[in-house]
Amino acid sequence: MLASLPPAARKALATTLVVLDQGARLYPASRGRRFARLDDQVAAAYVRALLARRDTAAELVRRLKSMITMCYYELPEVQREIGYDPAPYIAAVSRRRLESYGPQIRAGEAAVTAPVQRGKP
Amino acid sequence: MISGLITQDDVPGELSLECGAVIVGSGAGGATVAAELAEAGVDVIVLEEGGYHPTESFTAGTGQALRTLYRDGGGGMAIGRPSVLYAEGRCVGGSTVVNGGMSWRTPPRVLQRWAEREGLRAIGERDLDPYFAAIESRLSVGLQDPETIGRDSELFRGGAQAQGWAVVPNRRNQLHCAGTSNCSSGCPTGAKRSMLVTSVPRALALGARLFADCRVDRITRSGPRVTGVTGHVVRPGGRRGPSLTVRAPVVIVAGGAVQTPALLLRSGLRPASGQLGRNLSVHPNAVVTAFFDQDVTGWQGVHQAFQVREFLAEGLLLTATNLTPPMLAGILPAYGRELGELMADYNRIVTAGPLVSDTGTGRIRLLPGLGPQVFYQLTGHDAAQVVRGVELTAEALFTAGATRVLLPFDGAPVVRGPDELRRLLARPVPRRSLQLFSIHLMGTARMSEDPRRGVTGSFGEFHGVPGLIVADASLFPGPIGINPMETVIALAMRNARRLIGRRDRYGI
Repeated sequence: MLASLPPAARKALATTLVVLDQGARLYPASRGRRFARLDDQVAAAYVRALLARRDTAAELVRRLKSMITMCYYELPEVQREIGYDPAPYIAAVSRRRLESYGPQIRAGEAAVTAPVQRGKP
Repeated sequence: MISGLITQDDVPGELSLECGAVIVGSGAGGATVAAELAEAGVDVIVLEEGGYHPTESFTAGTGQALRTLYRDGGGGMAIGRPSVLYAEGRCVGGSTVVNGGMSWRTPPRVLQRWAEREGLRAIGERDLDPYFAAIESRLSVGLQDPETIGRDSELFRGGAQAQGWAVVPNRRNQLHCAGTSNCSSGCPTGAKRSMLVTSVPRALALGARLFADCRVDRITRSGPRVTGVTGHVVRPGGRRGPSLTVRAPVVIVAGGAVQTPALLLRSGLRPASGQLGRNLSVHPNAVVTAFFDQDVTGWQGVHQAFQVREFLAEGLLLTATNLTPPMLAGILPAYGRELGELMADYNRIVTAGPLVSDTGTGRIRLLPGLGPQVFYQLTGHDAAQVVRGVELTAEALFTAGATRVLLPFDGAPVVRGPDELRRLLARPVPRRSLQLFSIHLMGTARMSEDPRRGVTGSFGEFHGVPGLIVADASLFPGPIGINPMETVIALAMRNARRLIGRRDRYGI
């Protein structure tokens, strides 16, 4: 997903990661530790404090959070865990569509390349 | 391989081509013009920056879709307070491959406003009706088969109707849609009649050539007239490939409301009005996430089945649209364990929200090293409309049985009932806290018969540059308040016919 971002956005996200990690040293409860070294509770409080801000840094952290959570919930095992398994469903309704409307579908698809009646839009 | 379709794999070295008309972009506008011109016997070349991805390649994978079908992974951001996330399609078929397929005629009052304000010709309801009819026939526009309507849509409709609001079934360009809810990742059955499966193959069958993976850098001119375009092939990973030159007496630009003005500006075009890249409307959207005690499985059923039209005259349209887990997780205002707990209820969630017909405008600017950047400042009026739309949406969802809702405002608490909702919204919601997104960008090369007000004339012709025509939502003189695809196609078809009627002027 990162690869599809424009270079400037990739750089901004990479910078945000570093700032997020090292910026934790300035957070009082971190006692000078970087984000990766914080325990869950302090890390969560730090992120919460960042997201509560209204500045560009908070905006970047929000985008970073979006990117990470999107990637996580793209994982098939995570999707199955929350009851999302679309492939069998898509296969079933696709079959139903063809069984119910096959002739109309074939006619509609054939019409795509059929000539139009002249004189009409 | 499809006859007439060329991808970057087929282009080993520099390309130099000639044709009657070169079209930049293969979405709703570009593909429509291509089919019309090809039908009339014009030698047409379409250049599409994105790749060719056939129906068989579409899956439910959000990440795959964002990488292959969207510009910049769907992560565009209009800079402002608040910022507005936006997405543009970038593939053969353009945004029609990833939109919801809502197909509505332009409201007559909008056409009237455009005609009056900008002096536009032949743009009344009666003028456009024949084009709408032709489009609806070609793209199989109609109502959903009932078995494809999902529980999320039914719940939202029930809630809205219980409030006494007008609800209409969606008209969509679909040929017996299966209800896979996969619209935004590409329709895996081909039932959605996007340009990929309609006007693109039609144009190719009629002799047009389409070069996918080709980015246009500049429009070339000799004196005031256009002479073609230059660009380059895009290799995998976005690497720059061989250069490309197309000579043509007619250039049609259909890259959408961000890329079209960007290309025109890069090409040194500066209309006297100074309006190129300005007047951007975005139809700001917001998402309310509602939790129910029962299973909803909103991903089983059509992407969007109904629209609440009760507040359309006020500039508000309400709809329920399912989001895939990655998309939902990306926008929920939570993280870590809290996000995990919310997402555990994914199958009990309905997502719905307002689309606002905005009064403010933004601007596209070219920034050195960054390319086109979108600037958009939400007005106080529009912010109030978003909040009202969110409130109405949440009310409908509570009426439908939601037990709690999350509002799209930074820092907003979970709301557990209509009274709590009213109490919360009795206090002002800071504009900058709104979480907004857009998939309808328009207006950045607006039509006006007055060259001091607009960029293009009534038929999309760029003021003062013969042979240069715009064919996308950039043309709109203002927001239309509903889904814009059918309007884009109708204007493209109408303007193509006009060009065909005057083809001798250009020798095509």
